[in-house]
Amino acid sequence: MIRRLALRLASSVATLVVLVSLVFFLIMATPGGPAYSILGAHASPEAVAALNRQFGLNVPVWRQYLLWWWHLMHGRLGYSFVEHAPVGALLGSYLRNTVLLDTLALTLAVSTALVIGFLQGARPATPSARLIGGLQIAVYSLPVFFVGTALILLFAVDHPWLPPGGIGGAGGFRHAGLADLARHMVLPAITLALPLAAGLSRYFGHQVRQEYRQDYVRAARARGIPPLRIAVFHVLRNAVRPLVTVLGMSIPQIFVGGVLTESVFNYPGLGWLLWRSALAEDYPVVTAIVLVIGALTILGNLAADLLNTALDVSVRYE
Amino acid sequence: MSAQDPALVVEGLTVRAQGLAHPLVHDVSFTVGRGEIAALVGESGCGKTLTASGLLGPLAAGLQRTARVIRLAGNEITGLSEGALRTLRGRALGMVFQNPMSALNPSLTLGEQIGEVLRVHTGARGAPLEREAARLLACVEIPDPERALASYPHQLSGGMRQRALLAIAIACAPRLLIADEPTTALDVLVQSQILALIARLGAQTGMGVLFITHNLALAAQYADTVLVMYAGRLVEAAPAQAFFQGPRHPYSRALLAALPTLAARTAHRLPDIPGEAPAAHAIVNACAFAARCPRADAVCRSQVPPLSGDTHRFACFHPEESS
Repeated sequence: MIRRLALRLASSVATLVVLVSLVFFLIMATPGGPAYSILGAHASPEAVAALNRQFGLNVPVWRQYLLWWWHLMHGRLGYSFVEHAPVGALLGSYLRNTVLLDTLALTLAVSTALVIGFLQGARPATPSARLIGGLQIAVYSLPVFFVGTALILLFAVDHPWLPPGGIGGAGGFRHAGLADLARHMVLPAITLALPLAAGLSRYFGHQVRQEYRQDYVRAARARGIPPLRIAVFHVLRNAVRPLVTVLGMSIPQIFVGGVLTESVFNYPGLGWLLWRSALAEDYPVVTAIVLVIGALTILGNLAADLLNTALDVSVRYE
Repeated sequence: MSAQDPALVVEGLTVRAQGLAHPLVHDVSFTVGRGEIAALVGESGCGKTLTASGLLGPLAAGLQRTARVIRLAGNEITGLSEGALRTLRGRALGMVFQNPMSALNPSLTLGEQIGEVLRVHTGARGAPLEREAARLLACVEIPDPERALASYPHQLSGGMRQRALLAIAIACAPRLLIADEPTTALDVLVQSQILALIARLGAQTGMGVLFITHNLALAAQYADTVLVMYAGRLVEAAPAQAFFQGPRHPYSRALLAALPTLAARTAHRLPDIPGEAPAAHAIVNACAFAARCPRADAVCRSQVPPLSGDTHRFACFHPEESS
């Protein structure tokens, strides 16, 4: 068990190194640069060269790359060209906002998926199950920017019940108390949760349906086990396990959806910052966010794997 | 209910499918005595399993059962509500299925699964429940019952799983055990061990056994009564000895003739019955076997032969000679 875990961790770290390196060189290969973003497209070559010298962008790329790792070893993520602040300090509040939003969206999506998927899987032949099936595909196919914009129009503009974006407080980026923060999170959380809930509930519904067809369910019925007990004790228990794996694999989907959602709602999270920094070609921030998101994804997958091991009796005993 | 009541009396059991004009199981009547093994034999699709699940259900969606009489150890159960039937399932009637690999929930221990049926039907809890579960495993000759209680299905062999399923089936001392091809998925040695165990349990407790099989050799070895089904109808019902000495229905005779023997190894092909069994609902006013029967004549093709006789019943206008 410990050996398995250590192997998984080692391969995770290797994956992360490859990922970050790839992103680093890809950014470096793109034309333009932060100097142009700051000074404008028509800046004189002399001014651009001066700024590049100041940022340390004039040294060879491989030296910058090694330097970046050297700083990372010492706990430094670099310095933002645009914000004029150390990246580590900059990320803190954005990371917290994203974790809050993603946790809320995930909870929303999973609880919806469990209820809807079970109703759908337990009675697959009913008209309501077919309706749910159609809705799932429709909702899953709706792009985040469309859903987000529609929600803003409906519930913030036409019916001004909820704020259209930001997280409130001064300048919209500093929240004023939990209640206010929660109000600001409702629409982005729903936007982020909807496609996830559609996908997960469809998958879970299918699992429930499969479990109901198993011989052991027929056998349990034949020995007079009450339907509710069969549903909870036998079917749900076995159907939830594969959901954990799928959940682990859908973590990247949450971050990708997060970039769009946070941009639509001007929600100051990592996704929003990534979008802004990518536009401004703020290399150190982009690389750092990729590192953080990569690490979170890998951790999420690892957690799903561990949870699965704990749930699956045949894996545990082998 | 008295001690003399048979384990099961069935009269006029009919199972219909929605949208089909003719039933899948047609007017089946038979009796399983206490401590007796009745073998229900016939080709795949002839309605053996439907007959068994038509007794107490649950039937698959779209199927309907009617019967004049279904008496389980003297208690009439036709007309009972689904809720009342459910309390009888697993308690008054135990079931063992064909595939022991899939009839157990893979993520629950044996203890949990035996405990479940005891808890649901007897309300037992805690230490007495555990003791009873261990006793049941010992009853079906599983070595080291305490350890077996904590093991998961994948840790047991097929034979052990079928024993465990048998323990679950007999947990509440049912009056009737339905064993639906319980050994088809097991190897030959384990087959006879399991059947000997079922026979012994039946003899000890007076539990009747409805043994569904298409293995006539096993039926000859263990059954007290033989019931032959063809295309949804009972075509012959007789005490095992009388049946194997002189089957009266041409189909039964053909079935017995089709049994492979050591002598048949010298022949180029195994004996078989020409033609195919028709679907139960396809035959209306004729003997279902007429198309494959060497003795069939115009009468056979225009009327359904009634099942008649006293102890040895058969449904044939031109029966084989009794020997």
